[in-house]
Amino acid sequence: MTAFATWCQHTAMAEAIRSALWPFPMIEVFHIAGMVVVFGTVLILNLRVFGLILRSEPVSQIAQDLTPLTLTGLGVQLVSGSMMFATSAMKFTDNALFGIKIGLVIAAVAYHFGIHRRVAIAKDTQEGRLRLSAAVSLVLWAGVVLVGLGIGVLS
Amino acid sequence: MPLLQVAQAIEASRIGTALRESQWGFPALNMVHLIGLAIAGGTIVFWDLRLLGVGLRRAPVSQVGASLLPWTWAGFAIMFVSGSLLVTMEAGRLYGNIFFRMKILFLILAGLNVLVFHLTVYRGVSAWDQARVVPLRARMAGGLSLLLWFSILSCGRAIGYSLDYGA
Repeated sequence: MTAFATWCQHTAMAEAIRSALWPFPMIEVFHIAGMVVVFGTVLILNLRVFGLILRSEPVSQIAQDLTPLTLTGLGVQLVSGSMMFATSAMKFTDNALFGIKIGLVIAAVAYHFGIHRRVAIAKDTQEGRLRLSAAVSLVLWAGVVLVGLGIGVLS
Repeated sequence: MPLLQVAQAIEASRIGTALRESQWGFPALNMVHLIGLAIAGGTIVFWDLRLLGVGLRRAPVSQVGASLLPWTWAGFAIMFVSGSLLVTMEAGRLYGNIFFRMKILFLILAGLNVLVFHLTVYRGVSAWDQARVVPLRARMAGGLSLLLWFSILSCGRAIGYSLDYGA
Protein backbone atom coordinates (compact mmCIF):
# COMPACT_ATOMS: atom_id res chain seq x y z
CA MET A 1 0.00 0.00 0.00
CA THR A 2 2.82 2.40 0.87
CA ALA A 3 4.58 1.54 -2.39
CA PHE A 4 1.36 2.19 -4.32
CA ALA A 5 0.77 5.50 -2.51
CA THR A 6 4.35 6.59 -3.18
CA TRP A 7 3.99 5.70 -6.85
CA CYS A 8 0.69 7.65 -7.07
CA GLN A 9 2.25 10.74 -5.58
CA HIS A 10 5.11 10.70 -8.08
CA THR A 11 3.02 10.34 -11.22
CA ALA A 12 3.26 13.27 -13.63
CA MET A 13 -0.42 14.06 -12.97
CA ALA A 14 0.02 14.27 -9.20
CA GLU A 15 3.08 16.47 -9.60
CA ALA A 16 1.25 18.73 -12.02
CA ILE A 17 -1.69 19.14 -9.60
CA ARG A 18 0.67 19.97 -6.73
CA SER A 19 2.72 22.43 -8.79
CA ALA A 20 0.07 25.16 -8.62
CA LEU A 21 -2.47 26.43 -6.11
CA TRP A 22 -5.64 26.18 -8.20
CA PRO A 23 -5.80 22.67 -9.76
CA PHE A 24 -6.65 20.95 -6.45
CA PRO A 25 -9.61 23.17 -5.43
CA MET A 26 -10.93 22.97 -9.02
CA ILE A 27 -10.95 19.17 -8.79
CA GLU A 28 -12.58 19.48 -5.35
CA VAL A 29 -15.39 21.56 -6.89
CA PHE A 30 -16.12 18.75 -9.37
CA HIS A 31 -16.02 16.20 -6.54
CA ILE A 32 -18.54 18.25 -4.52
CA ALA A 33 -20.75 18.76 -7.61
CA GLY A 34 -20.66 14.99 -8.20
CA MET A 35 -21.66 14.46 -4.55
CA VAL A 36 -24.62 16.82 -5.03
CA VAL A 37 -25.79 14.82 -8.08
CA VAL A 38 -25.31 11.33 -6.59
CA PHE A 39 -26.76 12.25 -3.19
CA GLY A 40 -29.58 14.14 -4.95
CA THR A 41 -30.67 11.04 -6.88
CA VAL A 42 -30.62 8.94 -3.70
CA LEU A 43 -32.47 11.61 -1.70
CA ILE A 44 -35.17 12.06 -4.35
CA LEU A 45 -35.71 8.31 -4.84
CA ASN A 46 -35.98 7.73 -1.09
CA LEU A 47 -38.21 10.74 -0.41
CA ARG A 48 -40.52 9.27 -3.05
CA VAL A 49 -40.40 5.83 -1.39
CA PHE A 50 -41.48 7.47 1.88
CA GLY A 51 -44.33 9.21 0.02
CA LEU A 52 -42.98 12.69 0.70
CA ILE A 53 -42.64 13.84 -2.93
CA LEU A 54 -44.09 13.07 -6.39
CA ARG A 55 -46.72 10.70 -5.04
CA SER A 56 -48.48 10.46 -8.41
CA GLU A 57 -45.37 9.02 -10.09
CA PRO A 58 -44.48 5.32 -9.64
CA VAL A 59 -41.34 4.57 -7.56
CA SER A 60 -40.09 2.27 -10.35
CA GLN A 61 -40.26 5.11 -12.89
CA ILE A 62 -38.31 7.48 -10.61
CA ALA A 63 -35.69 4.78 -9.93
CA GLN A 64 -35.25 4.13 -13.64
CA ASP A 65 -35.17 7.78 -14.70
CA LEU A 66 -32.56 8.69 -12.08
CA THR A 67 -30.19 5.77 -12.75
CA PRO A 68 -28.20 7.42 -15.61
CA LEU A 69 -27.64 10.47 -13.39
CA THR A 70 -26.49 8.38 -10.42
CA LEU A 71 -23.99 6.70 -12.76
CA THR A 72 -22.86 10.01 -14.28
CA GLY A 73 -22.34 11.50 -10.82
CA LEU A 74 -20.43 8.42 -9.67
CA GLY A 75 -18.21 8.66 -12.77
CA VAL A 76 -17.35 12.27 -11.93
CA GLN A 77 -16.71 11.24 -8.30
CA LEU A 78 -14.42 8.38 -9.29
CA VAL A 79 -12.28 10.48 -11.65
CA SER A 80 -12.06 13.57 -9.41
CA GLY A 81 -11.64 11.45 -6.27
CA SER A 82 -8.79 9.42 -7.80
CA MET A 83 -7.04 12.63 -8.85
CA MET A 84 -7.36 14.07 -5.33
CA PHE A 85 -6.11 10.80 -3.82
CA ALA A 86 -3.08 10.66 -6.11
CA THR A 87 -2.10 14.25 -5.26
CA SER A 88 -1.27 13.36 -1.67
CA ALA A 89 -1.77 9.60 -1.55
CA MET A 90 0.39 8.97 1.50
CA LYS A 91 -1.57 11.48 3.57
CA PHE A 92 -4.83 9.71 2.63
CA THR A 93 -3.60 6.17 3.29
CA ASP A 94 -2.60 7.34 6.79
CA ASN A 95 -6.03 8.91 7.39
CA ALA A 96 -8.43 6.56 9.20
CA LEU A 97 -11.44 8.53 7.90
CA PHE A 98 -10.32 7.86 4.33
CA GLY A 99 -10.38 4.09 4.87
CA ILE A 100 -13.87 4.35 6.42
CA LYS A 101 -15.01 6.48 3.48
CA ILE A 102 -13.82 3.96 0.86
CA GLY A 103 -15.52 1.13 2.78
CA LEU A 104 -18.77 3.10 2.98
CA VAL A 105 -18.64 4.05 -0.72
CA ILE A 106 -18.20 0.41 -1.76
CA ALA A 107 -21.03 -0.66 0.56
CA ALA A 108 -23.36 2.14 -0.59
CA VAL A 109 -22.75 1.59 -4.31
CA ALA A 110 -23.08 -2.20 -3.98
CA TYR A 111 -26.26 -1.82 -1.94
CA HIS A 112 -27.73 0.72 -4.37
CA PHE A 113 -27.23 -1.29 -7.55
CA GLY A 114 -27.34 -4.76 -5.99
CA ILE A 115 -30.44 -4.38 -3.83
CA HIS A 116 -32.13 -1.00 -3.48
CA ARG A 117 -32.54 -0.13 -7.16
CA ARG A 118 -33.85 -3.63 -7.94
CA VAL A 119 -36.30 -3.55 -5.04
CA ALA A 120 -37.49 -0.09 -6.18
CA ILE A 121 -37.96 -1.14 -9.81
CA ALA A 122 -39.63 -4.54 -9.11
CA LYS A 123 -43.42 -4.34 -9.37
CA ASP A 124 -44.14 -6.81 -6.56
CA THR A 125 -42.06 -5.32 -3.73
CA GLN A 126 -43.98 -4.96 -0.47
CA GLU A 127 -44.22 -1.40 0.86
CA GLY A 128 -42.56 -2.27 4.17
CA ARG A 129 -39.59 -3.90 2.50
CA LEU A 130 -39.19 -0.96 0.12
CA ARG A 131 -39.17 1.51 3.01
CA LEU A 132 -36.66 -0.55 4.97
CA SER A 133 -34.42 -0.62 1.91
CA ALA A 134 -34.77 3.17 1.53
CA ALA A 135 -33.81 3.67 5.17
CA VAL A 136 -30.68 1.50 4.76
CA SER A 137 -29.82 3.41 1.57
CA LEU A 138 -30.17 6.80 3.27
CA VAL A 139 -28.02 5.74 6.23
CA LEU A 140 -25.25 4.42 3.95
CA TRP A 141 -25.19 7.50 1.69
CA ALA A 142 -25.47 9.93 4.59
CA GLY A 143 -22.43 8.14 6.03
CA VAL A 144 -20.53 8.56 2.75
CA VAL A 145 -21.39 12.27 2.58
CA LEU A 146 -20.60 13.00 6.24
CA VAL A 147 -17.29 11.13 6.30
CA GLY A 148 -16.34 12.59 2.91
CA LEU A 149 -17.09 16.14 4.06
CA GLY A 150 -15.24 15.38 7.29
CA ILE A 151 -12.09 14.47 5.35
CA GLY A 152 -12.31 17.70 3.34
CA VAL A 153 -13.13 19.97 6.28
CA LEU A 154 -10.56 18.55 8.69
CA SER A 155 -7.59 18.27 6.30
CA MET B 1 -21.26 53.81 8.25
CA PRO B 2 -19.38 52.54 5.17
CA LEU B 3 -19.81 48.85 4.36
CA LEU B 4 -16.18 47.97 5.14
CA GLN B 5 -16.56 49.32 8.67
CA VAL B 6 -19.82 47.38 9.07
CA ALA B 7 -17.94 44.23 8.00
CA GLN B 8 -15.13 44.96 10.45
CA ALA B 9 -17.64 45.57 13.24
CA ILE B 10 -19.29 42.20 12.48
CA GLU B 11 -15.90 40.48 12.59
CA ALA B 12 -15.11 42.14 15.93
CA SER B 13 -18.56 41.30 17.36
CA ARG B 14 -18.96 38.86 20.21
CA ILE B 15 -20.31 36.09 17.98
CA GLY B 16 -17.60 36.49 15.32
CA THR B 17 -14.88 36.49 17.96
CA ALA B 18 -16.33 33.50 19.84
CA LEU B 19 -16.55 31.44 16.63
CA ARG B 20 -12.98 32.36 15.64
CA GLU B 21 -11.64 31.44 19.03
CA SER B 22 -13.42 28.09 19.19
CA GLN B 23 -11.46 25.21 17.72
CA TRP B 24 -14.53 23.56 16.21
CA GLY B 25 -16.43 26.62 15.03
CA PHE B 26 -15.02 26.71 11.52
CA PRO B 27 -14.96 22.99 10.62
CA ALA B 28 -18.42 22.42 12.16
CA LEU B 29 -20.00 25.36 10.33
CA ASN B 30 -18.26 24.40 7.10
CA MET B 31 -19.62 20.88 7.40
CA VAL B 32 -23.17 22.08 8.13
CA HIS B 33 -22.91 24.47 5.16
CA LEU B 34 -22.01 21.55 2.86
CA ILE B 35 -24.78 19.34 4.29
CA GLY B 36 -27.17 22.17 3.37
CA LEU B 37 -25.61 22.15 -0.11
CA ALA B 38 -26.22 18.40 -0.51
CA ILE B 39 -29.95 18.95 0.21
CA ALA B 40 -30.52 22.28 -1.57
CA GLY B 41 -28.18 21.47 -4.47
CA GLY B 42 -29.49 17.92 -4.78
CA THR B 43 -33.02 19.23 -5.30
CA ILE B 44 -32.20 22.35 -7.39
CA VAL B 45 -30.15 20.29 -9.86
CA PHE B 46 -33.01 17.84 -10.50
CA TRP B 47 -35.52 20.63 -10.96
CA ASP B 48 -33.18 22.33 -13.47
CA LEU B 49 -32.54 19.01 -15.21
CA ARG B 50 -36.31 18.40 -15.48
CA LEU B 51 -36.58 21.69 -17.37
CA LEU B 52 -33.79 20.43 -19.64
CA GLY B 53 -35.67 17.15 -20.22
CA VAL B 54 -33.17 15.03 -18.25
CA GLY B 55 -33.76 12.84 -15.18
CA LEU B 56 -37.36 13.10 -13.88
CA ARG B 57 -38.53 13.78 -17.43
CA ARG B 58 -41.73 11.72 -17.22
CA ALA B 59 -43.05 13.58 -14.16
CA PRO B 60 -45.15 16.73 -14.69
CA VAL B 61 -43.00 19.88 -14.47
CA SER B 62 -45.25 21.58 -11.91
CA GLN B 63 -45.19 18.54 -9.61
CA VAL B 64 -41.40 18.24 -9.70
CA GLY B 65 -41.20 21.93 -8.85
CA ALA B 66 -43.82 21.93 -6.11
CA SER B 67 -42.67 18.75 -4.38
CA LEU B 68 -38.94 19.54 -4.40
CA LEU B 69 -39.33 23.20 -3.37
CA PRO B 70 -39.79 22.68 0.42
CA TRP B 71 -36.59 20.58 0.47
CA THR B 72 -34.73 23.22 -1.51
CA TRP B 73 -35.83 25.86 1.00
CA ALA B 74 -34.87 23.66 3.96
CA GLY B 75 -31.38 23.11 2.51
CA PHE B 76 -31.09 26.77 1.59
CA ALA B 77 -32.06 27.85 5.12
CA ILE B 78 -29.29 25.61 6.54
CA MET B 79 -26.82 27.15 4.07
CA PHE B 80 -27.97 30.69 4.81
CA VAL B 81 -27.64 30.39 8.59
CA SER B 82 -24.32 28.51 8.54
CA GLY B 83 -23.02 30.78 5.74
CA SER B 84 -23.93 33.94 7.65
CA LEU B 85 -22.15 32.63 10.74
CA LEU B 86 -19.08 31.78 8.63
CA VAL B 87 -19.14 35.36 7.32
CA THR B 88 -19.15 36.80 10.86
CA MET B 89 -15.85 34.98 11.50
CA GLU B 90 -13.92 36.96 8.89
CA ALA B 91 -16.28 39.62 7.53
CA GLY B 92 -13.54 42.26 7.35
CA ARG B 93 -11.31 40.10 5.15
CA LEU B 94 -14.23 38.82 3.07
CA TYR B 95 -15.38 42.35 2.24
CA GLY B 96 -12.60 42.90 -0.29
CA ASN B 97 -12.30 39.27 -1.43
CA ILE B 98 -13.05 38.99 -5.15
CA PHE B 99 -14.49 35.44 -4.87
CA PHE B 100 -16.80 36.44 -2.03
CA ARG B 101 -18.07 39.39 -4.09
CA MET B 102 -18.57 37.14 -7.12
CA LYS B 103 -20.39 34.56 -5.00
CA ILE B 104 -22.83 37.19 -3.69
CA LEU B 105 -23.33 38.48 -7.25
CA PHE B 106 -24.05 34.97 -8.58
CA LEU B 107 -26.47 34.31 -5.68
CA ILE B 108 -28.38 37.48 -6.57
CA LEU B 109 -28.43 36.47 -10.24
CA ALA B 110 -29.68 32.98 -9.31
CA GLY B 111 -32.50 34.58 -7.30
CA LEU B 112 -33.38 36.91 -10.19
CA ASN B 113 -33.39 33.96 -12.59
CA VAL B 114 -35.97 32.17 -10.41
CA LEU B 115 -38.03 35.35 -10.09
CA VAL B 116 -38.09 36.09 -13.84
CA PHE B 117 -38.87 32.44 -14.60
CA HIS B 118 -41.86 32.39 -12.24
CA LEU B 119 -43.19 35.76 -13.40
CA THR B 120 -42.96 34.92 -17.11
CA VAL B 121 -42.75 31.54 -18.83
CA TYR B 122 -43.77 29.45 -15.78
CA ARG B 123 -47.18 31.16 -15.72
CA GLY B 124 -48.12 29.14 -18.79
CA VAL B 125 -46.84 25.83 -17.37
CA SER B 126 -50.23 24.13 -17.75
CA ALA B 127 -49.66 24.11 -21.52
CA TRP B 128 -46.36 22.18 -21.24
CA ASP B 129 -46.65 20.45 -17.86
CA GLN B 130 -46.37 16.95 -19.34
CA ALA B 131 -43.95 17.83 -22.16
CA ARG B 132 -40.47 16.33 -22.16
CA VAL B 133 -39.22 19.26 -24.21
CA VAL B 134 -40.38 22.45 -22.54
CA PRO B 135 -40.32 25.98 -24.08
CA LEU B 136 -36.89 27.40 -24.88
CA ARG B 137 -37.12 30.10 -22.20
CA ALA B 138 -37.82 27.50 -19.52
CA ARG B 139 -34.87 25.39 -20.72
CA MET B 140 -32.68 28.50 -20.66
CA ALA B 141 -33.74 29.22 -17.07
CA GLY B 142 -32.81 25.64 -16.08
CA GLY B 143 -29.43 25.79 -17.84
CA LEU B 144 -28.65 29.22 -16.39
CA SER B 145 -29.52 28.02 -12.90
CA LEU B 146 -27.13 25.04 -13.21
CA LEU B 147 -24.37 27.34 -14.46
CA LEU B 148 -24.95 29.88 -11.68
CA TRP B 149 -24.98 27.27 -8.92
CA PHE B 150 -21.78 25.69 -10.25
CA SER B 151 -20.23 29.18 -10.19
CA ILE B 152 -21.49 29.77 -6.63
CA LEU B 153 -19.92 26.46 -5.54
CA SER B 154 -16.64 27.31 -7.31
CA CYS B 155 -16.47 30.77 -5.71
CA GLY B 156 -17.27 29.30 -2.30
CA ARG B 157 -14.38 26.86 -2.58
CA ALA B 158 -12.11 29.60 -3.93
CA ILE B 159 -12.87 31.90 -0.95
CA GLY B 160 -11.30 29.41 1.45
CA TYR B 161 -8.22 28.93 -0.72
CA SER B 162 -7.70 32.62 -1.39
CA LEU B 163 -7.98 33.53 2.32
CA ASP B 164 -5.68 30.68 3.41
CA TYR B 165 -3.01 31.19 0.77
CA GLY B 166 -3.44 34.88 -0.01
CA ALA B 167 -3.85 34.21 -3.74
